[in-house]
Amino acid sequence: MRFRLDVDGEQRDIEVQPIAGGFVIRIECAEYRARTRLAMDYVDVRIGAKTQRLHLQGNEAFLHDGIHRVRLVEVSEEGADVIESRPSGPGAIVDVRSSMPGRVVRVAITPGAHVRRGETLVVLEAMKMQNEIPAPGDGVVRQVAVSEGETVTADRVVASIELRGPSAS
Amino acid sequence: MFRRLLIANRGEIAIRVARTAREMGIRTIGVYSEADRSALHRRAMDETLLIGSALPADSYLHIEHVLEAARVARADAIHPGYGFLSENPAFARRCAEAGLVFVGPPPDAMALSGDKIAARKTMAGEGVPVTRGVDRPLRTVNDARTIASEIGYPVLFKATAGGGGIGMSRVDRPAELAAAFESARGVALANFGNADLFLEKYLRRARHVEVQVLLDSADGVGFVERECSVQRRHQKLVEETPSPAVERSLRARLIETAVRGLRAIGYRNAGTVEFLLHDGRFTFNEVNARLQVEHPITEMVTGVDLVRQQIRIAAGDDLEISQSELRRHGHAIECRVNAEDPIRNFLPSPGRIVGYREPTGPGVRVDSGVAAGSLVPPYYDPLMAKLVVHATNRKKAIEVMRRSIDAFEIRGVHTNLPFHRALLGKSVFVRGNLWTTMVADLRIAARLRSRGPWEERVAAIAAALVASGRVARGPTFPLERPSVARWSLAGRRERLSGGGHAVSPRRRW
Amino acid sequence: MTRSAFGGSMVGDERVDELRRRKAQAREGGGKDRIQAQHKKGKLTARERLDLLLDPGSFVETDAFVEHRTTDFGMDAKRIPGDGVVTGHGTIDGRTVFVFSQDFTVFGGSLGEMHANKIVKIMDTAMKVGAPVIGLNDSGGARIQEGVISLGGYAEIFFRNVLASGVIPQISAILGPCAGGAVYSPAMTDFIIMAKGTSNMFITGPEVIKAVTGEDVTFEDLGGATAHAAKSGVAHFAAPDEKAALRFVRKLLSYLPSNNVDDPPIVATDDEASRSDAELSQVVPKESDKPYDMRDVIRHVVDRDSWFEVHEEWAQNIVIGFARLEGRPVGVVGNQPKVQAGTLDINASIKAARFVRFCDCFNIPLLTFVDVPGFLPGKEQEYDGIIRNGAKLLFAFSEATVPKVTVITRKAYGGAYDVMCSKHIRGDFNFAWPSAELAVMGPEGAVPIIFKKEIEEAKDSRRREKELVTEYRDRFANPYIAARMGYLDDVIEPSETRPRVIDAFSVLRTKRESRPAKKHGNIPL
Repeated sequence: MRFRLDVDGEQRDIEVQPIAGGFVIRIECAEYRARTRLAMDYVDVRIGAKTQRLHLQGNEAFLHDGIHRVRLVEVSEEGADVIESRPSGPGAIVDVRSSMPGRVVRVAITPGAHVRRGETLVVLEAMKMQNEIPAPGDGVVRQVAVSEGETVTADRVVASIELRGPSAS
Repeated sequence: MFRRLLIANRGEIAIRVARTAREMGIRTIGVYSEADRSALHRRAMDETLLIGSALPADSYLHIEHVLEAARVARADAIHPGYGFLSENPAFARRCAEAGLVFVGPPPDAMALSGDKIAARKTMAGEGVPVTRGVDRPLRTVNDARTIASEIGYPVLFKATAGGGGIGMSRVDRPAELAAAFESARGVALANFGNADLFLEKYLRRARHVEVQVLLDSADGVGFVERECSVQRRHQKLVEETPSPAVERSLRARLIETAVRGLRAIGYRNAGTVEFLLHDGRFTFNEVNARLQVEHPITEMVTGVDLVRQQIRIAAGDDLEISQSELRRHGHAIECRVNAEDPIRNFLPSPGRIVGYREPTGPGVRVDSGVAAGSLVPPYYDPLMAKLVVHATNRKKAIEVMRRSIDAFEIRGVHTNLPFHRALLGKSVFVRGNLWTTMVADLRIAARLRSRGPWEERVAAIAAALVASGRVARGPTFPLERPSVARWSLAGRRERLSGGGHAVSPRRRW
Repeated sequence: MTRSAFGGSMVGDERVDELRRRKAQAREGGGKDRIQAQHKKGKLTARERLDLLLDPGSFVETDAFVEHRTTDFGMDAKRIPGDGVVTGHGTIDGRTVFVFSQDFTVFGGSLGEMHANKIVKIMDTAMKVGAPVIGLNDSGGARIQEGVISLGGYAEIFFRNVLASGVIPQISAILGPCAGGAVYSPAMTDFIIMAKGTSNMFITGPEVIKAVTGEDVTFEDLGGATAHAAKSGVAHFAAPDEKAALRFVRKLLSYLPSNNVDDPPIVATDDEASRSDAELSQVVPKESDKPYDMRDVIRHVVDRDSWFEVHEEWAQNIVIGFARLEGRPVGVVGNQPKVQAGTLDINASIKAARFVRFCDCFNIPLLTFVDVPGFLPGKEQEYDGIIRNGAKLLFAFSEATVPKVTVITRKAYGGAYDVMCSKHIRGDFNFAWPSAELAVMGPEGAVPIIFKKEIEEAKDSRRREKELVTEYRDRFANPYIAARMGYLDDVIEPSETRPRVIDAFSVLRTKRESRPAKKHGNIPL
């Protein structure tokens, strides 16, 4: 489980892994082993030699020597074994299309190049704007279908990528 | 005496120089870049001028911009601080041409100090002991090989135009020499525009000991030595004075040698001579032709305001102390507090400081460039503040430092305070057994597990939130119900009227 | 295990014991085996979901003992209390909500007469008290054994979705199958959240498609979360898993009022209203044709960490979402220059139009950021009805009487300028940055038309055209001509956008505006 925690205005990205009797709390590569005991209104937490009793109420955490403003900013949990059946899994070749007519001003890739999801493949000038066409997923460029200076129509395939990882369909 | 002094620097040193200038009744003019618009040092000056965008090359290192600022502000003199343009002879000359007094050494002495080979040669000529090595640039890799085998491995490549430990490359075995030679040349060229290297014997487990010197036109004063062996990648982290390894007669020789050496190169104003202490003997390493970061520890044990003396000398006045009057009281230690994460290999940690509280008490001095709300930009040195303590002896100084580190609260960015805490607990440090590679050798940072009490508290809160199931539900929002003004409520009714409220439709049961 | 908000008393009475036994039985749904099967698929049970969705201990169940009345097909032997759906009310962040959570372990969550009645009852109550309805969908569809009666059940639900539409917020979470006619209920609710991998929605399933057209397609590809979030636009959010989907619902609700008479709730922030942000001056590139991410602009203006994007994967050339200013929710609409040059097309118009109308229903003010070079040209767009669909957004903005504040960051050309909440369609405060260009079309497009003769007659046509383009740009590609006419209320420095926008909304808090009385308008559909 991962979440972003704001304590008194200072934010930290937290990673939590359950262990016997508690959790391993990872904060940007520092690891804290916490043993927890849950009671009705409070939680006893032991880290190292120190045990603290915390009362959590609303958006505040009460400890013996102070009150802290606590806010969960974002939470994400690792999805457990979710089977995603899509043909665009690893090994699938995906045609990347232009979404509008335009002129190719830059081809940023060559066949065989490794690309990451979101990386710019081709830059098109259209509507008096430069538009970057991104790679839909991590993978290897199998084919570059356009060249600089060429005018393309909407829906024209500009490149084919063999995907290595998950992609946005 | 000057009427208007421009301080061509930022952060803690700019504030520190301004403090003394103000005490001397001099009007202080500061400079800042786009990234430093809300920087603390602006508030320490009587006036400040914008000199460029965030990148140092466009602001603090930009000679034209700095000189233009000095012209507009009608400054008489410029104090360069440390780093940036402080050891740039071209800048010193341009100041002179512009009729500005440069608070520092004469350009020629500065240039000589910056040429490591020339400095070495001159010192050797003066009878100052130098580390075994050559006094000329290495011509080819074979040249290097010959000399290296004469000196005996391990050897150290150094860039003649170098500094800050950059371009230094240690070679333990002949097989490694060729590759190290090429790479050191490349680094030197890229960083200093000059690929020339020379070679010295690498002294294992040497100690870095330096002597602060002040020279006016007539006299010279050398101060009790500083030990700066606690380093990481050639950057000093902790300095102290006096050195635990130097006793009285060695001290006298160090001081005498340093003053004599600087005189020989025509030096004026404040400067430091660095030595390496090895096997009870000392050899010359280099000259730092500027005021140094760690100068406060010297000030604490001697009671001398070094910046004040710098300004006086630059203005043509005499030193206010003489060698015979100089006394040393007690022991001082400085810890540099940087915005770095020691747990992630000292990764720079720029950001905004949301909480800040300095330690105080007798013998505690904090020279800081930040306060609560300050932005630590990613473009510059990560040094935020210098924590300096002074006590009657080294043992007490360590105690005061430990307590002060625990009391120093900086929240919002990572700091190297956990590192300092760990270092000051190490028995080798407490015994005074220091050497320049001790931080890496003892793996002090690598062994750190916690970033300190604040983060442990955050971890406890996180654990409590997960244990109580709060996290699974995601963020909770403390909702306040707004009251709707009658005016708009009337408008709402108007728009919504025309329909009855939902009449219960016919239902089957 | 769902903890009930109320405990029990009176130990020792036989009848109370019997009640407790029945309640315990009802809580088991379809039994332990089926619950295990559900977990194996990576899905939670109906009650586990409610436990995560609602504030701890706040759930109060109703109709736990309802059973179906069918006797055909041996159904009389199989009666399970609850009839495949758990209904009741609880709180989210302290506010009452009504919920139904379909129970896949009972008859596959299929909808029959009584199952539908339970849902209809909580919807009616929600309408009486003015509280949101949240549906957790996980159902195999109509209970075939109940025949036409189950269709009637659906219809009763559909009708109430329509009655409630625009009166109370209705949110659908799809956490399992939702197929055939069943999809129409969520389709008419305000927001749909799907869980990746375990949920799907479609009218005709893969088997029928294969039988009729021979096409092979998987459940996930046809109607999974990503397909609906990115391709069809049916899903507003695609969450990585169920638990995240439930968190989404809670977060979404924090921006919405409980009903159409209340204002949305405030979440206090320490982000100052007067915060001026120098980075905003850097966001828009100096070159007019270079893209940037409009969300960078939005995030710098709204309260820190309050941005909550809706329909992130669909029609990405326009950005919509909720945010807060001074703790008060606003609906944000912005063209996205880095996708398709930020042009408006059919999907973008539809996406934004529904969002604008939702905000207008529920007293959520609208903040619009404009950088639009026009509508996307092309035969495809024309044949698919860009005319009809582009008009939807124009209609929606014009119709809305919530406070409307517009900021033009760069381009605002042609008809699209009018559409994007311009002054003429009753934007309340319209601002532009100095980089704004308000024109009928860009210089490169206008010059060849206006100066056609002069260019043709010039010695070096190409050069003359270039000169004229530069002149035109200098003269017209700026906000001052519009400002001169009062079409803009002010030209502001980008770094001051947040304080100005907050000030505008603060003044507009008591806004009162009406429209001619009518049954309802005829928005082109």
